Amino acid sequence: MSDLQIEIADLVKRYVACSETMDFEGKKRLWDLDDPLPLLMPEEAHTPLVGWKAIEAYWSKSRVVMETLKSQSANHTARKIDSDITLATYDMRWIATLAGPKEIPRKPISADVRVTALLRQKPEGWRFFHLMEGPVDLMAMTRAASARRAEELFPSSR
Amino acid sequence: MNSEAATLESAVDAWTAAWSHRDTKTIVSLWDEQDAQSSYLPAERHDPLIGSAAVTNYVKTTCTLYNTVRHRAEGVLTRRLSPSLGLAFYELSWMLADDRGPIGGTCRVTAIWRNREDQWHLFHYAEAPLAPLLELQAYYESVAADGLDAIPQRGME
Repeated sequence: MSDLQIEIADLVKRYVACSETMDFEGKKRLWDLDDPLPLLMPEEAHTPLVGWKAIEAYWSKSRVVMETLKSQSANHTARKIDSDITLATYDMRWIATLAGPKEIPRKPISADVRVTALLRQKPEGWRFFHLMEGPVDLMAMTRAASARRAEELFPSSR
Repeated sequence: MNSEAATLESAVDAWTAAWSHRDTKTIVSLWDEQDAQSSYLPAERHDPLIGSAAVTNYVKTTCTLYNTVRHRAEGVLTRRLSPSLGLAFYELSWMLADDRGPIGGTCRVTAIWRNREDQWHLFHYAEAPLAPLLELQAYYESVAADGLDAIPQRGME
């Protein structure tokens, strides 16, 4: 693993760890605050969040919608594509419990997303300015769900 | 919109049009074949295709397997990242059809282009679908919107 990959993987892990405490201020500090048009594309959003106002509103809403949130990243890659720009990809698993009435028990839900991110080199280090989360599509997930059921029902058939 | 962005938008248009015509030659010509680390992450794959040989194979397979392919880019946002780098982000509406009929959907695309000799070439392309949980909910809602009388009649009575 190159120094760049180590550095970016460390940054991504710090970024993802902010989710556990819903420390969105901490997340924001890992973005390029000088970029007037950062873009965040969460998997559950119908349209991209472009600009700080939209991104901050999304983070604020996340605190209300989710009771708990944990995330972990893996399979980090980093590639310098220009003197001050790095393309990073990684996978992220999130586990969340949605907020709601206490009398209705809710199980955590989870999924893996594939992330594409662009980072700019700043005096304080690499900082995000573009981040897109994408799960595999519905058909691939349906296939994965069915494969999991087959494994549960016929564990010896593998 | 400045002329640089317009040129990048034209490259996006050329890319989607080539897919819609199943024009593998043009699709491959828009890919950066000189970049050994180029990556293409389709919506249905967990891991990306790396390098132009893998991408070319994927393109040719998709264009051969289906009788009809349609791609449409909407809400295209472009940014010049450096003199030789361009970023395009858009929502892709797609449709594939074979003898079983069409399938389709939308996904968000991050596409990173490199300008070489005044031509844009893609070297990173990633498709990001909406969360499947929401896709499924939208499907259930669309069936509800059809109403009870829309229950399919299968001629069995």
